[in-house]
Amino acid sequence: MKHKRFALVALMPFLFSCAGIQENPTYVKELKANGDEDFNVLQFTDIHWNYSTNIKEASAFLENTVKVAKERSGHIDLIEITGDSLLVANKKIATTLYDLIDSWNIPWAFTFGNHDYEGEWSEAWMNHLVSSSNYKNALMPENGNDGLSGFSNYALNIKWGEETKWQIYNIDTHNLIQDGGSYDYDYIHEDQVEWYKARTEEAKTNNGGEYVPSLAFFHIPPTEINTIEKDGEHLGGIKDEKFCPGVHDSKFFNEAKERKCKGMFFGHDHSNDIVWKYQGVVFGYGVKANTELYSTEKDGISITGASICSLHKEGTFDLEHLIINYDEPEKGATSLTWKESNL
Amino acid sequence: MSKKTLIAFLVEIALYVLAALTFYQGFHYFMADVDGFKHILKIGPMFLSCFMVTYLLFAYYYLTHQPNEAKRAKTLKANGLGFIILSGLLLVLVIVNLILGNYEFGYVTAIFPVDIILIDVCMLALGILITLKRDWVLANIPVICKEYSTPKRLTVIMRILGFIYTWIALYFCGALLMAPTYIDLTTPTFGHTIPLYLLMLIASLVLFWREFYLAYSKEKEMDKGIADGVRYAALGITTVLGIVAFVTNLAFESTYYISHNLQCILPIDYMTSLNLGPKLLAFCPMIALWINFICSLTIMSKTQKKEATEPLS
Repeated sequence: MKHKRFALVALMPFLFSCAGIQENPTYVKELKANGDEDFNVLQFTDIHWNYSTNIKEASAFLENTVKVAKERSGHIDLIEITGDSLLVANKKIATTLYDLIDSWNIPWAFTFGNHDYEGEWSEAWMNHLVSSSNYKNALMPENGNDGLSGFSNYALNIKWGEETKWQIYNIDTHNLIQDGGSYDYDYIHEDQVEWYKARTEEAKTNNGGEYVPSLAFFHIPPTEINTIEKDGEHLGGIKDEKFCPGVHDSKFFNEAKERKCKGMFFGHDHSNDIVWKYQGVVFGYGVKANTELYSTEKDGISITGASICSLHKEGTFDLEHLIINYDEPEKGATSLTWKESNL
Repeated sequence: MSKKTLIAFLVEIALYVLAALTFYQGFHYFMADVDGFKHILKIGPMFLSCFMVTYLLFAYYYLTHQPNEAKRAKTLKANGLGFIILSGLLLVLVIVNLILGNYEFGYVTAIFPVDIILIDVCMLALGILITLKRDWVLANIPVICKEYSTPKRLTVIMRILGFIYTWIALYFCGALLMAPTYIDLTTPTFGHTIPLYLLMLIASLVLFWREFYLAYSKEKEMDKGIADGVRYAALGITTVLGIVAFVTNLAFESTYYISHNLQCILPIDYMTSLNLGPKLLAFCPMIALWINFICSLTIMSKTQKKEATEPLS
């Protein structure tokens, strides 16, 4: 510790560059459900486009997945992209991906994963690219240096008429956290939990003193995943690799379950799409939306596709894991697709 | 320094800059598919074509640092064949990829795949030229300088270390040249990375200085005061910057300054979860200069001893 204190004094000039922190803004947006219909959220995760990706093939897979999802649920009202949509790539590849997503004319929310800054771009460029200042259907605010850890922290109030019946939280699980000579996966920080609590309290006040049911989407699983594997009720999906959660415990899970968070969905471990129910919370992985980097197969079918959360006005939701074979997307949903209703 | 030597030296610098850019780019193509090499048919010709420029740099270096004419001729012959075979093979693979529709125009660089085709065609032409006009090449490319003298028993290890150092310096020179694509001066922690950017530059300047000094001193003894001045200044600046970079890395380890600013140039770090790049930058130029300094002191003291023991004629 002593050497660190010395270093901090010696490097005071560099410290000055950390100044300029502003107060946390709220980052809440609204989306409306269509009449009394369900509000359908399509989650894509770990798309991982990079220099080696066959863009035509990968685009066709994503487009086909959206088409199949629309056929199965009637309509898609929101696309959630839970991180790692890119890997080692350039601006052209990144822009092509988000141009494609925006061209579907469906509102899309985005949270950062640990690989999203590996391409030939700056953090600011990427934040601007995926933000509402750049794309008409993007929902992520271009926030920058606001004092709140991470960039992709924002809430979406889902309204039926004038009433907010659901909330969707996008939380930044950051990247890697340096620990001396190595890096570990980061986690949801204390200030983000405080921001989340403040937003849920606001929603509670506007909802006659009742917490509004919510879902949370982020990239890196929290450490609770190790407990939940043993004690949770398995709903579906497979586990084909070890869990790689954040390095530190976050208060997020415990706070969220007390505040009527009904589901937490993430990505990160590509060969897992397993989901459990634990202490009233549906908790698990999305479905990897590409075979890049690494992925897994079962019965000769790649575990790729997307997941659909259909939010009912009454406060329950259905979860479907749409498994589409990457090599045969035109065949639509495979036999590995599974669904749980009224969670 | 003669005009011919100066031109050869400038060609070496130009090749170095080109190799830095292509090595950096090729390394990123390589890293994109490193997990299992599932797309090796597509990505292989891309990174190997880029690495051909580094091969040319090393071949040129050997040619301009080998005073033995027979060895120069033999190496030139081997490299000529090497360029023809490798670039020919890569061109065939590029054509196969074009036929299969694997290469989409403009996705990797603005002119891709024209850029890698150009590299392969140039290398093929160069290989043919070297093979057909070997004598002309030998007569017109001068020996800039001899290999740097090191204690004899350390020659092999020094050569290996030299190669490794050059690859590191090339990569970071490429990273520096590509900085306009990723640098963001408004990042709150940008200040923390300044020593690392300076070290990226210094890593290559160390090599340029070494080449210039040797080329110059071969024909005319450089003013000892200037040579020593540059050496001590380089040692001092690099050591201080290296220490500052290392201490910054320790002190700000929880501020994410690397991931906020330099993640895109450190793919190995982020794939292996090792904080390697900043340490390489902090220590490599410093160690290279100290080794160089200690070697020159050792050689100098040996020369002085030898001169002192030799009888006066």
